Amino acid sequence: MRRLLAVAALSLRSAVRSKVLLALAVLLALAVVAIPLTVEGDGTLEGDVEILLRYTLGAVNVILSLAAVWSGCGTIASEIQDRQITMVTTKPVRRIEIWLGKWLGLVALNAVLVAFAGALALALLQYRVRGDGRSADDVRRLRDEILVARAELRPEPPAAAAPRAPGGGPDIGRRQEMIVPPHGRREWTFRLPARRRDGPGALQFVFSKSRVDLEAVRGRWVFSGGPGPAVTVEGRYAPQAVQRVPIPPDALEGEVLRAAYENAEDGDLSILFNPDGGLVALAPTGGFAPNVLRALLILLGRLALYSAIGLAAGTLFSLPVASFAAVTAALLLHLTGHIHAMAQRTRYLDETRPPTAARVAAERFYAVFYRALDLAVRPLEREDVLARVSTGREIRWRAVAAAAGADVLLYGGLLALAGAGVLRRRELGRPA
Amino acid sequence: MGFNRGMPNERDDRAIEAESLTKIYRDFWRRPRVRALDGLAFEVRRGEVFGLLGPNGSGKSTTLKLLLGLLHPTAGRLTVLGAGPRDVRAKARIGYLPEESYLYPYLSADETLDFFGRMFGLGGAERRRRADELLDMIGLRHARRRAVGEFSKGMARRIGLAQALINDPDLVILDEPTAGLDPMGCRQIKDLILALGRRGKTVLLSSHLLADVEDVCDRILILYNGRAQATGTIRELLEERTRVRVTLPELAPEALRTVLRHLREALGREPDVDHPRRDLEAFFLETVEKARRAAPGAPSGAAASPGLAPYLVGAPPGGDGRAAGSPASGAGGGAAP
Repeated sequence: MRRLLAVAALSLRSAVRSKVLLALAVLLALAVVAIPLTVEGDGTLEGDVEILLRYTLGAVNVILSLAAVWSGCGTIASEIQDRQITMVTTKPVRRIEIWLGKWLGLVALNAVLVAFAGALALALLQYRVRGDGRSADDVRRLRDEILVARAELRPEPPAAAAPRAPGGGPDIGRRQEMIVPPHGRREWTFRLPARRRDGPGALQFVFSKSRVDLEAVRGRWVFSGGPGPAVTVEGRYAPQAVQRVPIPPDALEGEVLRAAYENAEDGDLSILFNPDGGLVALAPTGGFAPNVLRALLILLGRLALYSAIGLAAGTLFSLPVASFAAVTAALLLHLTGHIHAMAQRTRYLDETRPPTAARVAAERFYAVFYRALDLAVRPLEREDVLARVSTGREIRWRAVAAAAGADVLLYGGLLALAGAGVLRRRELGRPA
Repeated sequence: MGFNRGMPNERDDRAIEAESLTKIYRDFWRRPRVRALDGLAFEVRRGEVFGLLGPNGSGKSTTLKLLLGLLHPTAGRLTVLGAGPRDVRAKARIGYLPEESYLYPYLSADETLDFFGRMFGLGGAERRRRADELLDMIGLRHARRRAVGEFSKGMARRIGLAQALINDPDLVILDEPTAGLDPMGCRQIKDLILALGRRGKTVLLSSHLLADVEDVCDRILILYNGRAQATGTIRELLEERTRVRVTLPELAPEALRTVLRHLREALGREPDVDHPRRDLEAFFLETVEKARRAAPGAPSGAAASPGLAPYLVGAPPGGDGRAAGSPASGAGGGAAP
């Protein structure tokens, strides 16, 4: 362990002495400060905050991702090229200790930079939201509705399922449960998390209506479930747009929240809430800063994986080849959705052309290739944590643990074993 | 092909043993390109100073890299300190100075020694003590905070040597150790090698400088085209048993004429007579020592060394163990533990 830590400290020291740390810190500071000045929000408080967080932390993520891949490649490939690695491998240190030490050093470097950029972005956010002469109401909204972490709750399946259309499968049944008929009423139950904090919640919904136009409709939300009386919120809501209504704090004090929608529109207009996330209750569960911390930890886990990819490539190839290979591998991680979609397809080639032996073989190859690739990268698929944190949606510790498990322990560990194996087999003393 | 993968065999008096060692360098497609070593067999006994000689491309560096586990043999068997070359237990007892000083340029001299001390698992206090003593030994205490990347080649070479000795190794492998060093540094290296030999350490030395090898080695191996061409003690290999040299103090002209007459009668021909010459190294060291005494002050490069690091001569921590000779003295002695 002492040797591993010594190698890690050496990597970190190298980054400091070679001004890599300084250069990246300056670049991150420029990105964090300059981007909010150049990108306009939608004029709302929420929009400003989202822009500030999502764009700045997004830029930070891009910069650090590229730096992680590149520094991973350079750390070991340049040492092999310059032969410094021979001074270490001739000492009583195992190759896995060298590899893990380098990795740990890079992760520490990324941790410093992520912490720096995160702190800077939060400081800037505080300055922006307080320094623009916000009203007391704005400040309250910021505190209670934007700069918080709120759990996303989906409606529980009804105990007695609503009658389904004849011959309808589960999807049709689910759609039935989201329809509010003309002048009708439908109630949904949301199970509230055990850990909550005081503050208002919100119900977020998207719906379509049976008449195809974008005219707003009248309706009433009735919230109950807490110790107090039911609270009704009446309004006009636009279809095909994300709408939010506040949930009174009282309704969030029980074990469940009940939200009923009463269709108050004249005529025979039905309302269909989007079955896929068209009805979400947001209940406050934690503070904003811990939520940002969890988001940054997930980003750090991904940076650790990028560093591991760079290191593995740098162990195997010279610096130019390693850089290309590692960037390609890192890009694949951004295409997990596309890869999954391709793996689901049954045909890859033009169906109108007659099947030949070559075309059949190609179809098989594509199917196996995409399914194998999907299998390999599927555990690395992540929700956009920056989108979550910038819209006040909770990132759970479970998500952090899952990301750390997949990115760092599983894939990072596999890359470490592969990298150390290559380092062990490779003849580091070969003439140049 | 293979290494000895068993437990290190301490009873064996051979520090290094190579049998039928062959190394073929292959290209990317695994096609053989160069046969660097061809069935090489040799052994180095514990406590011996062994010289590896040969022209460029003869296989010296390949042999050293195989011994250090930096290359894998194509065929043959190799044992280092009773274990395979890649065994970390063996590596813990080896000190290695490569032909070039592959040091981290951003580390200072102090940090470099500290880092390599950590690689050997030395504790903090011990690392600091050894670093202090080694920096004194190589005459770079005044430059301990400077980055190694700013050092001259000779200074970097000295730091390379210091890191090779940080673990007080049983086997010291030196690849062209005097390359880039001034005559004082060369003398110091040779004194060091002699002192290490006297302490029972095994030293394997590869060098082009035949005079250096002749000064310090007990036995040598001459390589050519990856094969052993000659091996044995310096005396066995170099002594001309068919000739005799007699060295006399300066004689009066009449006495000299008498001696020569007798020699002429005995040999039946004119004997070769001349004045012996001092070697240039001794003359240079004496001249510089005089200059140093005349103009004392902090040097910009390596300073005069007070002697070998006390821990290398077995002195206890905190004791006055600096018993070894100065480089200029050429003694290097007093080094017995």
